[in-house]
Amino acid sequence: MVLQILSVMDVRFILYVGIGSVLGLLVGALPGLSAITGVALVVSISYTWATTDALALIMGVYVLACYAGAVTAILMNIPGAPSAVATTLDGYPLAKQGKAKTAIMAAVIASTFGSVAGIVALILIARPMSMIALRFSPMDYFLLSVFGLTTVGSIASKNFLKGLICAILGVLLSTVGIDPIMGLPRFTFGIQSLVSGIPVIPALIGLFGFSEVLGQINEIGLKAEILKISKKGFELKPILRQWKLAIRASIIGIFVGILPGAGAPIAALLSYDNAKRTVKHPSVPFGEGAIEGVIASETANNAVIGGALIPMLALGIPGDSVTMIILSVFYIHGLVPGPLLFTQTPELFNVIVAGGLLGCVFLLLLGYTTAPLLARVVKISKKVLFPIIMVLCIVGAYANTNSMYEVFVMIVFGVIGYYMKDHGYSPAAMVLGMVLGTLMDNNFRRAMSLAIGSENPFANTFIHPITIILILLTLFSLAGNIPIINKALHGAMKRLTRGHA
Amino acid sequence: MPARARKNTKTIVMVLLTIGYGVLMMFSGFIISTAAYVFVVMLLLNERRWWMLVLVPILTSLTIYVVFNIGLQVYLA
Repeated sequence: MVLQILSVMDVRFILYVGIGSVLGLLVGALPGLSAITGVALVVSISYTWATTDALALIMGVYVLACYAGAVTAILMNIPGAPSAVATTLDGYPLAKQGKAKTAIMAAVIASTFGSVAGIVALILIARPMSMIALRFSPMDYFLLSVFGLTTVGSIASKNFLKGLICAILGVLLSTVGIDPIMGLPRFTFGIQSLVSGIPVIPALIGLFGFSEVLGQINEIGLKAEILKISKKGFELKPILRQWKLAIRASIIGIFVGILPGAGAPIAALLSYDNAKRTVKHPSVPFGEGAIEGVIASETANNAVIGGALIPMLALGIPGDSVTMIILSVFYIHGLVPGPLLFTQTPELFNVIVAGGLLGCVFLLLLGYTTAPLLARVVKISKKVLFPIIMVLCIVGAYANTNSMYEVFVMIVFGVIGYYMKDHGYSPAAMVLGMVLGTLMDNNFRRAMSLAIGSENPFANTFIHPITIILILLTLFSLAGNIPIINKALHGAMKRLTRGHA
Repeated sequence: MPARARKNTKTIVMVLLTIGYGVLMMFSGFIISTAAYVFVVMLLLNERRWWMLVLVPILTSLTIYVVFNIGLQVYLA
């Protein structure tokens, strides 16, 4: 295994991961662009490349972009990406106390630790999970997708109903185009371009990149100051002492990553919250510059990478929005995730693992040294940065298929995304609906045609252990969001814990 | 709510400009349309330093053109 992974890393591979890493640093640090937009832009560029090169570039961007948000979070109190929101809470106070270097080093070490932990989990879990996938019926795939949609509603957005509305809208959008079973056009209104469906990558660039700029052009008056970085070096001891916390945060990150739908921002917040409750005696109270807070948040948001890749590679169901784009790369190159991936093209799995690990090496090399430089790039006035980001969004959408049509799709989704965010709806949930919708559509109809052909349609479709477990999971996930039941559950939990104490 | 109305006008102008940019690109090619777009958007965002208004559009447009056409083999017209 180790040898196979090492054999992937030739000079060309390292070079591509390196380029990806630098891009990832920039994209992650710029407020308004996150790992999602970065990977979407890179995918549209690497459309025609060899699979190995494209995946190397993507893994570099993915790992570094998950970290880079911390730099601006610590030095400027601006989370460079949503996943760094929890990092600002303690990172910025630390920097204010003159411990910026320690805070950044903590973020680098924590992110590296989290990434490695996630990738180890990926190596350990993905293959066995793909074996379970052999037993999955089309109905099970359908239910797993439905479960993913309900978790988006419950975890990914503050308002369950709004999250669910976005997810269902996404599912509806995914049905536009050629019907996968009958081969007839659906919901195209006679428009020729719509026959091939709504292109996902331009939609993503619009929803996450363009819409962000549209929202932020109104906040130009806000001026962010970079804190002076004191000459004093970093202290390694208080960081390394937190290894237990880092392991806990990694487990949270991996778990959130595996759940279809929830991604790095949620993992970071959950882990920060967990640290706040479990660390009894932090060096200073949380929120006033506790190094524990930075470590909890940064470890978890990078551990998500490995976690989210597990269901994507094993089942073909993406664990977060970034792996969803990586999944689309698989389809572009005619690769099918799932058990076959491990038996027919095992080298591809090694490419992803190697890319991730090399990304960690670049993170250690570049993360700390480039931090002041990155902060200065972000400081370049938004008046200059925004027009350039806009052009990149357009070129990214265009590069995908060299057609103006996709540029206009990008603009339309940019406007939709702007209004959604303005009114508390979640574009991430909509995108997840778009991707899971295709899976749901295919598998539900295959399940139905299997049911029709069998003697006892009901028993044949539903009476399987995996199916029953998935139905129960979905019901629990839904029930947890109905206020009355939620309250009752919380009350019961409280009584239980009090009984023990 | 005058503040809110102003906020939306800026966003709407931005969207219209971007559509205009897309249309312009089909007629006058990538380099000219991009430079023009970056220039106008910078004006919209209240950039008034003349040397920035000259340098940034030209450099952005040329850099992206060169990187994409030569480095990435994505052909921009």
